[in-house]
Amino acid sequence: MIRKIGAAGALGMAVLAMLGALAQAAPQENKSGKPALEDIPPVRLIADPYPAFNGIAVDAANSLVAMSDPNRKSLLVYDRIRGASQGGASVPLRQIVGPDTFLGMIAGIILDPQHQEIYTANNDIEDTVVVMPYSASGNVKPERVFSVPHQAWGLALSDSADQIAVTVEVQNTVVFYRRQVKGVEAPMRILRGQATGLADPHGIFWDDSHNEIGVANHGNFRGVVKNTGGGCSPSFVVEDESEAGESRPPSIRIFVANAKDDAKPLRVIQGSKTGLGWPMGVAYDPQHDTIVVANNGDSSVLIFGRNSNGDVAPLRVIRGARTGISHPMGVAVDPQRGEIWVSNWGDHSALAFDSATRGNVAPKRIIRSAPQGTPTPGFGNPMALAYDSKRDELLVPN
Amino acid sequence: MFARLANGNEGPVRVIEGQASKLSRTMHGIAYDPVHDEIVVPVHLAGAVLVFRASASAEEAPIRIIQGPHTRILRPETVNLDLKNNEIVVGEDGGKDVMFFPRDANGDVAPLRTIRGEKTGLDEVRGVAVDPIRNLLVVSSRGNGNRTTGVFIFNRTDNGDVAPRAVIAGPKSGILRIRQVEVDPEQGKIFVAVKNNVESYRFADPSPSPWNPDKPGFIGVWDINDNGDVPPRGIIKGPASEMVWPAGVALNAGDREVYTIDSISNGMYSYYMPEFFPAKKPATKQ
Repeated sequence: MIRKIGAAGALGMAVLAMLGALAQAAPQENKSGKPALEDIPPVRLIADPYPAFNGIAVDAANSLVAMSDPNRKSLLVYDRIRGASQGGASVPLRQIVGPDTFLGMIAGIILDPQHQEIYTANNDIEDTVVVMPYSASGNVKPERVFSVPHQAWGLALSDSADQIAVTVEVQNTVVFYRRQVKGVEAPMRILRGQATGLADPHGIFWDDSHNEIGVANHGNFRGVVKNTGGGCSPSFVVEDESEAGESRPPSIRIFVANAKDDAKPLRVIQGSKTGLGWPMGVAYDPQHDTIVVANNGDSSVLIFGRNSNGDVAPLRVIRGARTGISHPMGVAVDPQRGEIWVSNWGDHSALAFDSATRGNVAPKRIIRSAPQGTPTPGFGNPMALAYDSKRDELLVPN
Repeated sequence: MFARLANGNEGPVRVIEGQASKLSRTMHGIAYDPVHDEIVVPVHLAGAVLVFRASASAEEAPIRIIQGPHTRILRPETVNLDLKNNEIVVGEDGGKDVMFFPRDANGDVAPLRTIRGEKTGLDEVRGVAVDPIRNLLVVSSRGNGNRTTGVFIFNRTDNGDVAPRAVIAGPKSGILRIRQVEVDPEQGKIFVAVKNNVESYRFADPSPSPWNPDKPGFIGVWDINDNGDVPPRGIIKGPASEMVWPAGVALNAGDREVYTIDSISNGMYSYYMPEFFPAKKPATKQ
């Protein structure tokens, strides 16, 4: 039988190259040198050979900005000033990538300038937080790895408490660990329960100056996970059958920083006036005493007063074609330079804005992981697909 | 939504997204209804099954939602459609069950039937498909501990705590971890995304990565009447296939193609497989 071989072409080679470390680790099942009969090349493939930014963090003291990349499963560290691009791909100072790194479907990222460490959360499959030294580059083992519950997304660090907070989507939970946590270790405390209102939490910030934490919630809710004694190891989930699925409005919930158990939030930003839609990363801006939200749902950045409460409109919104904001996943604040950084899932880019800006304004600088205009398939750990025979389309839930 | 003939680093032609869509970042199943031109998606974190117009785009709301205490939906992982019998089939990982709803169910609706219990052998259900010709239900289930990971075949109308009529599992099957399944009822074939991802939580191991590509995944094809530790009758696997952890599988018999989506490479692959679809049907437009 004559087969269509190699039609997927150069992109396939590029993707294979990006997955080189994996391919090297794979055994050669066929020793003859000829392809096995079942080893059939695709006639077409859709994949993104470039890093795609999810989380973003800034270290003003060391002039660094770092992004998590769940597409090629890497961490990228750039000079926050010289990393800017005029249209081509920016050159990172370092990229950490490869099977030894333990990096997978990573999401939230934080930089710890004091201890020169990078933290990132493996959201799915690996169920870990990986800690790398600032100097890490290439296929290197982490400095530390610690277990977290399945679907960890957001990370926040407190210098004063010397703790790290981790949001967990499926458990509607924030778990807190000592900063030096390593391996499988029980959390110091857990924020979880009906009164918390946590529902599919994502981004989190820790405001040491006001002793508060803030959590962005998508609103998906299917009961509060009970403590079944599994600790932080992977375990079955037993849930109350009296509870049912809910699609609640999205929210930003502010808690006292040492909250635990079923604590009520101090304040809640929620309602139609807020404009919240799939809020992802959140950050506190001490210069303006505001909360900055990566609003993925309408490709905007929403800025609320720190004391905002209830169904309130944002103080400022950065949105529009000039901004270049496209499906933002992360935000970070650089108070030294007065900048807000935004990581775009939809555009291979990270944008630096003046932190006082509003409206449809262009960013001050752009860091790109691919040349300007490069398409973005947008896959992130996809698990299923279907064929639409009427439109001749392939459907992927992502 | 991607054009079938898209190739390379291409973006989608349409996206349904945003808060009003009630979708989430955790959706592990999808089904297309060619008769009513609808899309069905489970939302794991909201205990919901959403139905959209197939032409929907942007922040469009679903036209129907199955959600609420009467549904008994816990963690819907996967969905499929039985258009002959007008039913939506929902598979759950947390609930370890398969539920059947009327295709046009909307709101807090009780399931028509539920397959759940110790006799079923089901654990984390990852895929469901119906063979309406033989009246069979095919379920892929990942077993934890000493429970079986494999393909479970039930009678379509089974209800309650019932044993499967057949289970395809074991070393010869090559199944270590399993995801989406599809059925070609005309040929009586089961197509399975055998993901075979094996995580390691032993951080002190020489290579602590949870990725274990020495056991790569594959697309396996079994006969609907297979039972036991049976090797696949057809397979797509190997470095040239570019699959590492294939998580999804979809069929296009008209164009004799098999599709998969890979959760490690974040890639979608199309394979021309005439040997899998010997009786060629009229092709779709090119």
